[in-house]
Amino acid sequence: MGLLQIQEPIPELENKDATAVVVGIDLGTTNSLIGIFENEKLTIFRDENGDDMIASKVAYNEDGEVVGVGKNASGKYQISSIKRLMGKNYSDLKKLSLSKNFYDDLIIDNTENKDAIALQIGNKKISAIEISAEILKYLKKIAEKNLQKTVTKAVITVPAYFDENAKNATKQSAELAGFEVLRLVNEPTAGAFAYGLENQSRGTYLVYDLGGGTFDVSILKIDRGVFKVLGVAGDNNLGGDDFDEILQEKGVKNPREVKEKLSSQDFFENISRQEFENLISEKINKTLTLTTDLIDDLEIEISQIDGVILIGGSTRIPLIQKKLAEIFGAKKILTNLDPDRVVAIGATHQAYNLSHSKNNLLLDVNPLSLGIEMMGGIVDKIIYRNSTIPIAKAKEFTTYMDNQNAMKFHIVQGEREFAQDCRSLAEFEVKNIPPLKAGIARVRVVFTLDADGLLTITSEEKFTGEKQEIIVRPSYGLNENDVKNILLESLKNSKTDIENRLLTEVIVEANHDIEIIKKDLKNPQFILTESERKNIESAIFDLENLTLPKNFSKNINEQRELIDYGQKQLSKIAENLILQKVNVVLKQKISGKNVDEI
Amino acid sequence: MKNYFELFNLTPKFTIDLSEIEKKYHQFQNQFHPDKADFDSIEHSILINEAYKILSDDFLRASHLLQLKNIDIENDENHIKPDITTLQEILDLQEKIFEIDNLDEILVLKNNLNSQIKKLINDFQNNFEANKFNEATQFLIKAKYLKKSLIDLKNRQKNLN
Repeated sequence: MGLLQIQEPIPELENKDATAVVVGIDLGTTNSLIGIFENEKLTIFRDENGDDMIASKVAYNEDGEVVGVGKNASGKYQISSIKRLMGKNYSDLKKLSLSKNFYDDLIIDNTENKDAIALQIGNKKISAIEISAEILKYLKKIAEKNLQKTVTKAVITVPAYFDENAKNATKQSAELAGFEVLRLVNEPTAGAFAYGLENQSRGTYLVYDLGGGTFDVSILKIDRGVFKVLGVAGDNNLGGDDFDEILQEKGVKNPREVKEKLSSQDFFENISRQEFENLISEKINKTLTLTTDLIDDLEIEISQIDGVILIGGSTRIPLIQKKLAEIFGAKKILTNLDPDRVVAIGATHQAYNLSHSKNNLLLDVNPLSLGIEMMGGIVDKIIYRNSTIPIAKAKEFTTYMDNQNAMKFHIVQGEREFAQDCRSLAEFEVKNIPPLKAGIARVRVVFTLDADGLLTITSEEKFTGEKQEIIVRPSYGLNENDVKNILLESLKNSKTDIENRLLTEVIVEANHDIEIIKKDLKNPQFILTESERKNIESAIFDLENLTLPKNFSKNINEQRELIDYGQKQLSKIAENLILQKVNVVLKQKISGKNVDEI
Repeated sequence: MKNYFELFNLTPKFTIDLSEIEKKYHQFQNQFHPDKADFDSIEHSILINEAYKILSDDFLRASHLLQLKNIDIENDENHIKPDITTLQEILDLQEKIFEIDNLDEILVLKNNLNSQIKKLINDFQNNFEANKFNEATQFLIKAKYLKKSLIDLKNRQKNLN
């Protein structure tokens, strides 16, 4: 619509104020949510099905190409619950008693090269990080369609009990999806943040977070906008999926539906709630033990807990609420925010907080102790768990042989005494130590955890003063080359991305025109007949409908052409109005008045 | 040696207003935490976290007071050892923890250890304030070992559960 462009430039698709758009993402095992807090209003975006909880499911065809994401994604390979594999490698899987998943047979045995875990999908090897990135790409598209802006910055939530590798893997998948991660926020902290902000709470709160695949418990002190995490505990391999599996083993065909129905009724398909509760009580008790152990570790009394916040769909199970009420008292169990959405709500609030208001402060902790493997395989703990981050600790090491010129360190994460029982994080070497007698050279190593809980290490040899910064490569992440190759690969497949972008552009243009014409319609300066007015209004209505994502046809190019046509129709129908406006503008320009004053 | 009391504008002494410390801590982090600060460096935020942790914990604060008197009980290389009767007591305690397998007994022992530690820190305070630093150090070292035993006991409890 050339005429209008003369006067009022179309806003660029790239947002000029890059800090303005920061979305919050709850990247869940079963479902993921993306939203924004803007103009005092919280929005969780909906996809074309009208769902705000997007199934964390990716479908691939037999050639290993992505053919769909979300609830309706279907293809030869349908991958869900990929979050359980984040940051793990093949030998980790054998150590853990993960519940069975239909992708189990696809996992590639890559024990030898310690690579990130990958699935054999058709003739392609696809890592968990890449699969997770597909979910994030899809969420990004949903947000961009709704906002009609390019979205590049995000706050993403992770389980509090995620280790370094899993956090790094999450960050890498976000980068692959085109996000800059402003902050990784622990899920229970995000939940407490949402509660604290919406209810103006003060006091000590326990967050019980039982999701599809992970259990987290977290205790926070909330005081005038400061949210200080006192401690976290959890189990990365315990969640609602396990209850489904238990039911499945008992021969139940649709375990999830049965589980969900039994939260509101006593019987469903020949199973009583009592039977179901008996089956899952062992798992529930495990979460309760972790909860009371954390309270004990932090040296606080149960009576000091002012409220218990429930997060995750599994907390709808009546047995869980009953057991928690037995421990803390029924009055303290808080359920007024939707347990499925509270993490996403918190993430959007933190996204807004980091980009705009900066009114609130989250002080988080590292969930697992960080240590170095010493001689004999014993772990020397450097940073203890539940330390407030950011944190730095220094430790001095010395040579044990004459003329020793290098030192090798193995960093592990976990609470156990022996390195073999902990998670291996990284290995690094301090080189170029000057030739000296044993015990003379001293290397000071500083371990720093940033506000995301991610690790960097620097070393200094005291004798020469030589400094090194060691980049800690996660043992089971993707290396730089992997990342580069994947990005190149994705460029090849980016045809649909470009098509989507073009579609977004025409929508932005169309809405811009609609806005201006609506404004001009109200301007008494412009004289229109009743039928002209009606025709314009109906053209606007048609075009508006075309730009609504829920009305989109499957073919992106077709939709773009439809909108383009609707836009041209509108300018044709509104020709008289536009001509009048141009005349006024020209007159104003001649007399030197500002266009804005029309 | 860093003086964390100074960082929080306090004179080094054991008795401290915890709510005042917390208030200051929040003020400082509101200014220096990377989410709040205009600059990239996280050094200040790290130092404030460290100082708050030490000042807000009775044992760590006591130990820091000794450090400021050049007595470092945290660093094992300094070879400050408890006296022989304390040593014997701790060895017996360790043996007991190794053998204990009754949850009720664990709870009794836990309460016992907690009140012992509390009393030792109290004894530390009295001696420290009377400038009897050697005596104060002995009480705090015993508290340090009992705290370690308490952790072992908790681990024992977790293994039994």
